[in-house]
Amino acid sequence: MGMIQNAAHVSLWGEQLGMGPDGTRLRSEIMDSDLFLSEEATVRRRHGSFSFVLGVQLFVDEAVVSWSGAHYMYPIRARVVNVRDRAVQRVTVGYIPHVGKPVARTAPSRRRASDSRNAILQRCLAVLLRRFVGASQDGVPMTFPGQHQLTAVPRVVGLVADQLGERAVVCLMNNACEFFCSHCMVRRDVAGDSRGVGVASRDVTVLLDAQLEGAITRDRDPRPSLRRPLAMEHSALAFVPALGAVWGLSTDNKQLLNIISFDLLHVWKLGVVRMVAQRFPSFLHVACAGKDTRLGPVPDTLEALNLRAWEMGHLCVPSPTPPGYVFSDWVECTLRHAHGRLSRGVLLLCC
Amino acid sequence: MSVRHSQRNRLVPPDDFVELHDRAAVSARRPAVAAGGPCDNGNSAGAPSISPTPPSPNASEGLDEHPMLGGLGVVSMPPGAYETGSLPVSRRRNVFHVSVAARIRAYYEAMPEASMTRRLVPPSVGQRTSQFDKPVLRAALKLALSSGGGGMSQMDQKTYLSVLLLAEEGGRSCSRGGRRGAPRPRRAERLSTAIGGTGASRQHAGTREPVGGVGDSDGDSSDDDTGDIARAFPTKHSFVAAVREEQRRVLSKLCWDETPL
Repeated sequence: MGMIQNAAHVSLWGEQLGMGPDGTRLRSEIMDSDLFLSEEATVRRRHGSFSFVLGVQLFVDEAVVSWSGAHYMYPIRARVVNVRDRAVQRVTVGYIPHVGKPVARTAPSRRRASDSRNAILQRCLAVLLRRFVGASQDGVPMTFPGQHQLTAVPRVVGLVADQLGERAVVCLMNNACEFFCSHCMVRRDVAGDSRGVGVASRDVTVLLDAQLEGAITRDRDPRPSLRRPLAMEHSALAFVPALGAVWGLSTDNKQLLNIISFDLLHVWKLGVVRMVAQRFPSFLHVACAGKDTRLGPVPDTLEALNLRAWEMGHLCVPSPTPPGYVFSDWVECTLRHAHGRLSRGVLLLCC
Repeated sequence: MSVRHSQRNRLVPPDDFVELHDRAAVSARRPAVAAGGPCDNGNSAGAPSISPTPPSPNASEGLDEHPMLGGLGVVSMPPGAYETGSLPVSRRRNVFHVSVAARIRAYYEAMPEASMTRRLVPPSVGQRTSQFDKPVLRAALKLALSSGGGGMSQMDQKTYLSVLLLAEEGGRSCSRGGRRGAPRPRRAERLSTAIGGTGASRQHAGTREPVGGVGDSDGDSSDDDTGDIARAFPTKHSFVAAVREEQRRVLSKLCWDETPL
């Protein structure tokens, strides 16, 4: 609220842009996106014409703040999309303690660490969103100079994270799961195939109901066998996402899964190298087709690559400044998934 | 079972047990008894018995006199939580047949940390005035806290202040046209001149500028000798402490909370 009242340039209502030369609708940023406009219509229908959507984007970037080990935690940042000042982009609104890997390499210890990690994230989000949840239901009166008293209705219109962060926030399994897409129920074996086109979307209410039941069951009895049906049916964890308490995400338009965006710079920075490295052995096997590479057989080549990467490690240290600190322009774009679904994405451009 | 294992029967109230919904009435009567006021022994018609449970519950008359349910031992609950004689659980807002959002909210509100949030910095800290009240000081603070993304370390802050003080001194000596090669007065002596104007520093001050104490008639006080930074932070530690205090002050004004999990 303070951000929007202290801002010099504020846009309270979004508007739909016109048609492009090819007949398609133009979109430039979040304020004219389908998600924002649909939420705005719902808010104005519920709270009257003197209400507006206070759109908030959340950034969950698991970049540890302190390098010295004094504080192992990572920040949650927020951006109010109604604020059009270029000086204010993202504000840190909370810190979440980091739960590291367990010392003991046993399945129970790994499960305990995973449970702690998921529980702490959700409980921190719940504490962070405590006032936000109430305000998203009732609205907050706000007066701007020379205007009527308006009602600001906060809504979460974006969750910017990498895939691991996204799955953790909505309490879905990260790996070894059948339904790895957060938006739809496409199976692993048909994803990216023509058989995966047109699969049903995830039902937010059913998912949250199942997660809530699973969380209550886990609180009483932490045995993993009781969570198996939830994992098989929804690929979900026995935790309930705290974001589901925000009005508009599990009610009305049920935008919980539609707010998921991703930071292309983050994906490029963290994910591309890993994905390439994972697929490089297969590429070498196919490219060489039984012959040797320039450095010899494929295993020798991989060993040479690993050695080279280790030697270059001191040059590949990621920047101490996470992507959230750079001044940036945000460009909304529409990306088409491999299995044919439309989802929103956020493109991060550095100036 | 209740006869053979009288001490282990969880269905029989233990000794000196008062029903939970009667504890508030008992606690309300105790001060009255202590003060010698009127005391109702609870035998009035229609009123529940508030007397402690008799010590021998295995007797048949005891079973008839007291209910069989209850007796969960010592349960610490907030006062007034059982005025209606409800079950011995904390009073929560039970949400069963409403939206998913309301149920999720109720689920997380029932967590123990929901009422353990406290201010990270006391509000009184936010009422203090900032020591960085000049543009140059604010610029120095901004650089100290944002350099490299995460700000300078304390050691770097000390070095940074040294550089700032050197720049302040050097700029002034150059602008006043001091003789090249002449001995420069120590900064500490000049600071003491600024603070107290002692005679020891005046001997050196004469080599660079006219001797003048605080409140000289010509208005050329020794405060002009030191810059804003040197005047605000005479030592390196004072700068580090001021930066830390400014961080606490801003956190207090932003109402940051801390929640132990």
